[in-house]
Amino acid sequence: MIQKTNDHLEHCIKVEGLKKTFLNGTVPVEVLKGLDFTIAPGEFVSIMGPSGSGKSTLLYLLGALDTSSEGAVLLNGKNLGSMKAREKRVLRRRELGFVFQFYNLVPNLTVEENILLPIILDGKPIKKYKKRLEELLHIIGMEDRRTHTPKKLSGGQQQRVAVARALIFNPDVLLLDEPTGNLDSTNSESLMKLIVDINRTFKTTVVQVTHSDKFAAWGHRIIHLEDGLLQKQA
Amino acid sequence: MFAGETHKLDIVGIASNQGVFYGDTNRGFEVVVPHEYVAGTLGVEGLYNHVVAVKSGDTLETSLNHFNEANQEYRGIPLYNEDLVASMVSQQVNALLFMLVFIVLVSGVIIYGAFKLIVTERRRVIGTFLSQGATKGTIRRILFLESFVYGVIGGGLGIALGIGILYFLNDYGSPLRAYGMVEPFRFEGILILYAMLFSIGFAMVSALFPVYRSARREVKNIILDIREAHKRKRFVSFAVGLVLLSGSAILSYAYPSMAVNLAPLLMMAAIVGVLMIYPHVMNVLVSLLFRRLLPYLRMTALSMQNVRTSSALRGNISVIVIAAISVVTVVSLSSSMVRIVTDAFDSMRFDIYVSNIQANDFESRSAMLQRLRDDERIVSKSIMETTMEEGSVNGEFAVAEGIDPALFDDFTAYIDFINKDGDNMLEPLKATEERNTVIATTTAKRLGLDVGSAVDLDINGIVKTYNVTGIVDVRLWNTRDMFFVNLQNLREDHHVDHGRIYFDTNEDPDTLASELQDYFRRFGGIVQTRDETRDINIENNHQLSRMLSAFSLFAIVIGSFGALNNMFISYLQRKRDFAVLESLGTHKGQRNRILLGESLFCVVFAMLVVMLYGTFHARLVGQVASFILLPMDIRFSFMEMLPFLLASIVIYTFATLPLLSKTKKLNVIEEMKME
Ligand SMILES: Nc1ncnc2c1ncn2[C@@H]1O[C@H](COP(=O)(O)OP(=O)(O)OP(=O)(O)O)[C@@H](O)[C@H]1O
Ligand SMILES: [Mg+2]
Repeated sequence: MIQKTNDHLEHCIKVEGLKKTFLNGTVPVEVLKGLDFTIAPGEFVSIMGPSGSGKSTLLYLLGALDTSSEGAVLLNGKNLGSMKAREKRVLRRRELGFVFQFYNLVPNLTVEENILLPIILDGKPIKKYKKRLEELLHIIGMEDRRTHTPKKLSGGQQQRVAVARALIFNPDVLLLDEPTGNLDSTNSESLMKLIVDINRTFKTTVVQVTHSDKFAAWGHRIIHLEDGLLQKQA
Repeated sequence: MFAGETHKLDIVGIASNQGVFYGDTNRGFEVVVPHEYVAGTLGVEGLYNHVVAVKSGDTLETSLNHFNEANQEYRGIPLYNEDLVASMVSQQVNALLFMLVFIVLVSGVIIYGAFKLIVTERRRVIGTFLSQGATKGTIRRILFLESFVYGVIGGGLGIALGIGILYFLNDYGSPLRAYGMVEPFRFEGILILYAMLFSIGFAMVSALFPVYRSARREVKNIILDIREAHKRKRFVSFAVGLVLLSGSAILSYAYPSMAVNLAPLLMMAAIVGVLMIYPHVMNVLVSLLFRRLLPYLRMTALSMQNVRTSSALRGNISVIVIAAISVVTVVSLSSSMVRIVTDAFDSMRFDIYVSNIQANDFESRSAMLQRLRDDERIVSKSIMETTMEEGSVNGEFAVAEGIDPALFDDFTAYIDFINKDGDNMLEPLKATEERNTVIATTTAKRLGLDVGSAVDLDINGIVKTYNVTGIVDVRLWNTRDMFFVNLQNLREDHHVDHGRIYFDTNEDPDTLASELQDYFRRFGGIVQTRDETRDINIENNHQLSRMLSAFSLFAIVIGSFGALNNMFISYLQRKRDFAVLESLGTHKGQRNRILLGESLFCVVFAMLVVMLYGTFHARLVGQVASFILLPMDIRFSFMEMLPFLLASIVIYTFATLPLLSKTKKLNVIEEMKME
């Protein structure tokens, strides 16, 4: 396991005193109670913890889909908290890839169109990304399914397309929230292999939330979360 | 002024422009005074022109026969002809019913969509029921009961609102409201029952399809909302639509006379056909365009793709198509009516006419004609009298129009009196002793008459036998149903003394008409110019078209509510898709562009459909009009339609604005969390 303890070394993600409080009616519920950690560029980190411990909440904060109550998330040195909504959207399109557990694809678009969606929304010329598209279709092994709509794909195939879409801009960070939570073991395994592959080939920083000890171990490091706090562990 | 003297009268009441006062104009009007006063002034106490009475027998006919047998010197006739009144009113009623069809269609599509949503939303509950052993029948019964309740509630609210609006219209719409005269509000209670039954029946019928389908799918598919792909079924709906539309077109163009009798059916078939075909056309069109447009018009392309794939948005198009068709109907109908009236009057050669003449004795009439002949501003050989009198033929209602056969053909180029052999049909009418008549096509059909038939015409209680020497298409002339006879015959044989006088002038008709009014006032006559009359006629037609326009506006308003509803439904159905886009970094502007693009595409596509169908529809409107209203040739004019189409685009686009404000808050995390 690669341990990056030297602070002067470049980090990709830096979390400082991160707190998140939800209002449950009028009662504030502190879900993340002050987290500090860093993730190095190219690192593959798994987040584990019991249900309700705040894993997804953390991942959404890392993915600029939500804002923290206290503390900071720095992505490549940029503080997400001080970014404008517009800047965050650009960040989400170009520098971050996010894969949810369920329902990642737009049902009335084909595999190709779904993968190209970030480009379509960004306004970049689609032609320029044709090569990247081919590359990704090849990696996820779905060149022959490019014109299929999601309905005709299995859950595993759909998740692979979602991963490909997250990578179209070749982002620095890929975030996955229980990507195999909905898949059988064969499909789960091939998806995880794909992610490991991507981490190696593109040097993409990967942060995944998982309940599987086996797949958690496929990463370089595991962060344990319990009751909104990091568990010191081996 | 009457009987050559000026009388000073106190006004004690003002009546609305109805009944006796119906013919009032700015130049001449009726006043009502006690009979004793007039009789006293004229020294004719105890003498009457008319006596009005109520029947004492079982039927009007028996009472009249009884009276006429007992009285040789007087003759009783019905005060008005019920058939005529009924046929006049039925035109208006039919026109309104015609428009009601569109409103019913629009509402039907909306209710259908709403029920589809209800069923979709409850698919899990329905699936759970079914998996627990409930029968399909139970599910359908529950849903039907629901639609029944909706019918009752909606009907109740609608009736209350409807009565309220009628009351308001009655009050504020009264033309003499400023004089404190408001028609008493009349409403038949039985209508409430009809409306209620209609509302319930309508709600249940509109719900029929979605409800029936609800329980037919596999339980698993119902729960997961998986739609079985129906390639074959899709083709069937396209084929059926094509058969309906082309069948209706073939009948309409190839068998026009049969088509008129089937016109309402053909129109329904054509509209349903269009509604069945367009989704397939759109499917192909968008599939072709989408990939080409995507690199350039990204959000627009996404919108189009969404419309293609969302049934709620397709429902939107249907609603807009029907509402727009109703607009096409009204616009082409009213512009045709105006065109027809204008053409008719333009083809009549007279400048001024005098009607409503009350002094019909021989001396007065001779004096009037002399006065006109002596006026050098009037073309004396153009002076022509006509008269109309109701009567009967073998107990069937008939109208005789007394004309001057030497002048009438020239007077109205609107009617073509030249027969197949190139002879003028009016020629035989000149021989008054032969008693010849030319009859309208409508009359010939109704009474089963032909050229050569002898017909016993009872006018003013005097029966004479006439020979039918010609049948003429009178187009929209008067009541379209009449016997043209020589005016002399009516005067001498049937003692019809009243009539109108038409003539041409070399001077400005308005000035002359005003001056002549002063002269004719003493005879009760009203002088009008051709242009005035034409404008009044156009105005009357405008009233009808305004009524129809109100209906089509109604269809558009209901339609725009339906459109908003559908947009909303489709947004709710696709909230997660928007959440996915949001997670990929779309901004509000892009989301709004997609939503607006959807509604814009719906309305533009709907307009395209209506444009393509418009020409054929106008033809069908013409045939329906021939069937229920008036025979007329209706044309579809793109330029006339343009403002309405643009307005529709604006209305429907605006109708979706509330959606944009409601969709501002979209929480990606919330949407992605639940499954
Ligand atoms: N919008 C919200 N409002 C209130 N409470 C919330 C909200 N979102 C999350 N929570 C609470 O925060 C806590 C952590 O939720 P989170 O989804 O991060 O857990 P998790 O670790 O991802 O669990 P799981 O493994 O089940 O996915 C839970 O107790 C949840 O109820
Ligand atoms: Mg979670």
